[in-house]
Amino acid sequence: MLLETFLFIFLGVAIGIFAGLCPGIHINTTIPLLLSLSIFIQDPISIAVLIISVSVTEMFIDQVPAIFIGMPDADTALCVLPGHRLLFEGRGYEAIKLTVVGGLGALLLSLVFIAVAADAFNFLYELSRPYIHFVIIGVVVFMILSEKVPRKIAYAALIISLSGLLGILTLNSSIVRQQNVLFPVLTGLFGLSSMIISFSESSVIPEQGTNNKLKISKKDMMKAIALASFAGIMVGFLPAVGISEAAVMTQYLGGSGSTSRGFLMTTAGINVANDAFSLISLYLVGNPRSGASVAIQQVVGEPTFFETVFLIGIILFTSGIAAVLTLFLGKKIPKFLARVNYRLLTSVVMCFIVSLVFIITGFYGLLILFASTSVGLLCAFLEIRRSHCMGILLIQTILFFTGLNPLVISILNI
Amino acid sequence: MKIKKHALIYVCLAASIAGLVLIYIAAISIQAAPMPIAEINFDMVGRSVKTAGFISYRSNHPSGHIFLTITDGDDSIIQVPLFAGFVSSFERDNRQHATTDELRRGALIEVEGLVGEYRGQLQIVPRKPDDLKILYD
Repeated sequence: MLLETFLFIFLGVAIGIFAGLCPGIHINTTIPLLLSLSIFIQDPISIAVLIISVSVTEMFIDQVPAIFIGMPDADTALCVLPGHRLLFEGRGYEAIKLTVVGGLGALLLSLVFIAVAADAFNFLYELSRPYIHFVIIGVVVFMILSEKVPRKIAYAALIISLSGLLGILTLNSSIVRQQNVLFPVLTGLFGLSSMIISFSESSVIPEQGTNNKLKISKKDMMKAIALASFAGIMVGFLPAVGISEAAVMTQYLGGSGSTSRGFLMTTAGINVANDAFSLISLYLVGNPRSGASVAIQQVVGEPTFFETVFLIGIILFTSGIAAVLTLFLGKKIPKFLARVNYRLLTSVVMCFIVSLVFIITGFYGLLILFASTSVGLLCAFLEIRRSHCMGILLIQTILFFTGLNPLVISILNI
Repeated sequence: MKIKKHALIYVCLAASIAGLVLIYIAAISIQAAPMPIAEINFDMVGRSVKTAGFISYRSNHPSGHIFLTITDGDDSIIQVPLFAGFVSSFERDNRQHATTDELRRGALIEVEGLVGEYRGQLQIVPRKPDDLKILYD
């Protein structure tokens, strides 16, 4: 049993590394493949171990392409800019180290939070559900007003409106399959637009510094980890609030966005804390809150207390391995990038991304990529925060929870 | 340099608007494919379809959602979740002169929406009042 468990963990880690490094592959993309293996694997818990190992490893490794090459997915979109900024300051490894520390810290703290507040989750879930759109409306208003200067406030409103409209049109129509639609949208808003700017401004990645000490105070670090743990759990049980929405909320409401380092830690931490809570919510509220936990529920059903404790152990163990691997890649990749012509590399990656978007989502995916890249570039040229582009998900969430979505779709006739 | 930056802003704004207009035209021009329930499968998740069937089961959720199961009369069934926002829009929309009370067991309905998967079962999620028609009850 023990040997079998380790075998599945290492298999999961290997698949997770591949999924994390390849753009366009998310844990949800690998789940059908993992579930198909259940024909050969007798013990459902072993499949759960495999799914958790892939999910946790992918979550840590995902930060590497997001930070070094600017290729985001839905959960790492907001890490691209602060990570890139540190990379161009010669501190790419520090950016990776921050996401690892944030991830591990938030995982441990969120487990403590969950243990203390386990009984309250069902109550909080029901209590918060009718009011969630007020919280998100508040965040959007705050995001706009936080630009302070009237001209920039107007720009922020423009970007949130454009990205919100893009979200309404793409998330409610079937021009691209719904499970793939976020790939061109987020790649355009955060990835391709950043790469185009990098391409026009920098031809080389500066030599990466040897001083890898984290330039963040212990107080800011603790604050980022605490916010990440809390927000990760909130994502787990608040309907429709995703990693990126939670990151935006903590950035504005919690002040973690005051430093790019704190923001990187928080965003990575939310991912890991949310993954842990999603699994535990199967036991706590009998409700899966992520693709991985839905798959686990399919094979295991509702896990018992002891199965849940065992799976938490797997999360912790795999996180340790994934953290070491992420740090290893974080050290090697910037050195490799510093030796290559970054402009050439960026153009190769851009061609690869555009081709991948076409292969996965077809001609309409390219159209979405064109529109979202234009909005991302507009946001950059207007010199306002890129997180305003998250209007793509925030506006849609508000419409859903206010019950206005059917009305808007009717008016637009899509 | 300043002029160049302004020009870039205008170009990006024009490209954003043009892109949105083209996506909108594409979205309104794609028609849902009509097909019997038996032909809807997991490969169609994320696609828009239109189908018809008899209501074989209905349950009301305290939050205002209505969950329907429709069948073609043989063995094929599919779930049709009507979320609270949709339910209130459907009630307000008086073009059909119908209410959700008429969504009784045995009623024949036509539904259009995105195919989804929830807990291993296929579902069609209607998005606007026009997506659900009561053919007779």
